[in-house]
Amino acid sequence: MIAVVILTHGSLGLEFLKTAEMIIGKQDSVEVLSIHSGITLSNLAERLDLLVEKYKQTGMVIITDMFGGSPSNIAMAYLVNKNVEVITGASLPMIIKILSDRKTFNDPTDLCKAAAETAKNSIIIAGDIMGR
Amino acid sequence: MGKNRIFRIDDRLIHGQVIEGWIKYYKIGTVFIANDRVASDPIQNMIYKSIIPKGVDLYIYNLSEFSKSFSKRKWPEFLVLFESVADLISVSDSIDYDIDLNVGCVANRPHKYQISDTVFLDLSEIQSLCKLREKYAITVKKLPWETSIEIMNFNKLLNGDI
Repeated sequence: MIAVVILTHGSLGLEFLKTAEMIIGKQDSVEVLSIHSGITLSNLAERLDLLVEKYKQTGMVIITDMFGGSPSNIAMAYLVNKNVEVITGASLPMIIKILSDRKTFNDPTDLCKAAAETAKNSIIIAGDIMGR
Repeated sequence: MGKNRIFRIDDRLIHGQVIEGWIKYYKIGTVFIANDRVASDPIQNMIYKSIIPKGVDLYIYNLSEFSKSFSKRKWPEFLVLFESVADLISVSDSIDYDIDLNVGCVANRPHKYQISDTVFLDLSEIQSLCKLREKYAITVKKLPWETSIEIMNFNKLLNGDI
């Protein structure tokens, strides 16, 4: 099963995971990493190196909160590993899709494509539905 | 004067604060990364070029290339990003009175003092900045609309002179 790393600013990632687990149940092979003010990014890179090694057989998706932010910038450096994919712009529908469907995918990139589609479609302006 | 001619120390180089803060606030059209590591790493090059906002030019130089090319051209407005105090000091010949110096993010490491929520400096870095501060304005803040921390007397404070 493809492993998932949620890498965000502050405690956002942990809260995403807690909320997702509240909806779809406890998850295995999920790691949460966060970036706080003042921490060195090299410590984080060391932890990511270990995770890439740990999950090199299953593949790994790194979910980050914002394209262009430092969590995303760090994650993108791991794209040199063929079995790692990065998806940015984390949302609850995206994370739930990845966690639910990762058993049925072998390729992290295919999983991310499906999750991106779900995440984009989950953005609804409620007034449009009401036909206001 | 100044304000949109900025040299910034930020060990994350381009990230959310720079994109959403500095580039937008000062309508910066030209960004430089002056960094030996990034200049020599194709992946880091690709990452930063992919995240720079549309309509903003990004130039990535190593420090010696930066010193040479920067002084040759008169750029009307710019943001230059340095990873460390030492890197900024190494190009201090390029600094003039119209350039605002900003210390934005320097991560914590052993033997560092906390200057702000995002800036941690060791004694030699504080001394280098205080020396620059005698000639040029230096702000310590992560975002443009914040109030700067004044570092004028930090070196004296650390030496026990105050």
